[in-house]
Amino acid sequence: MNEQQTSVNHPLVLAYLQQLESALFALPADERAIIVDDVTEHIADSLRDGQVPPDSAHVRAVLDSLGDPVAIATEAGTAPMPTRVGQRAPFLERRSGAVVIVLLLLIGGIVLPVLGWLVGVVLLWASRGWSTLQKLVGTLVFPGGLFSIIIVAGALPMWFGRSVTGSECTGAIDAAEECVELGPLIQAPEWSWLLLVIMLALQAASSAYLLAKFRSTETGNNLPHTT
Amino acid sequence: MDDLRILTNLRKGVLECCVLALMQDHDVYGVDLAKRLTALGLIASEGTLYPVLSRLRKTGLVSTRWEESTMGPPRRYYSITAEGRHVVEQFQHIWGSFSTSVEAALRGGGKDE
Repeated sequence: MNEQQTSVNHPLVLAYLQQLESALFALPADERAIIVDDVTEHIADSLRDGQVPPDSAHVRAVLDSLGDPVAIATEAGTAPMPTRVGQRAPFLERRSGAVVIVLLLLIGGIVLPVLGWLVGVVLLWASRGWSTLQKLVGTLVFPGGLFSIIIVAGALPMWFGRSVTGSECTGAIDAAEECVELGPLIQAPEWSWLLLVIMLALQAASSAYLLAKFRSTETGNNLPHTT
Repeated sequence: MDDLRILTNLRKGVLECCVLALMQDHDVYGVDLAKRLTALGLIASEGTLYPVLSRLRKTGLVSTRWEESTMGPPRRYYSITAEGRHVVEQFQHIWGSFSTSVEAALRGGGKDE
């Protein structure tokens, strides 16, 4: 493919490909690359019989028949055909499916510890509504969802000391001495709560991110068709 | 609704199957396929073919390969897969009854056949 690139170095071609690239910004990077590569090959192929370097009139004619990059992007935003004609998109690729997956990732681990979240991950990777990068974010930003955060929240006082039991001790005057002996050496630092808040925020952000990035294969409403 | 809007909506539903149908007899390359579809009036501009091909590749209905060319660099050829052929067959079947229904509707809804 790249040996063809020599004939597509014409400034008009480069500008066209640049426009196409930005018109396709909403697509996952891998899909965008396929379309841009194919269009680049189309241009190189159309110019192969002409002079090198190609003259501007020829280049303009080729780009004119390719048409407006926005029209290409509009076509790219429409629904892919289901594998079998007349069948609805699979559940995982509808918006309702995406909501179920995100809920499983978030609270699946609470309903059914570990397993619930795992089911969410499997469904996430089975869905074609997200790119690989998006799936990685959904999987790796605090694996386990809210369940893992609850575990960490429960473990923090144990790791760092008596932030929870400390208050009980202050109530019992004669037990205070005992408390000091029993209490771990390190107190739960204030930043441990900050850490929890950050974890919750990241978890909420990754869920929102997944919902926002989801592209249903059912309806092609990613780009408006009415102009 | 203007003519262009009607045509755009109609093309949307059938384009992928028409692209597949054009590959049934022999493999095709992009420029050739784009010119044939434009000549048939099935796409408005040649570039709009490529998102369609990309989807067909992704869904496994079409595969691609490089072929050496006697003049110039190698070309990418698209071939229809077994699954793609199956889709064309189904489409042909559905299209037959669908176009009959549309014609019946245009004649007045088949209320007094």
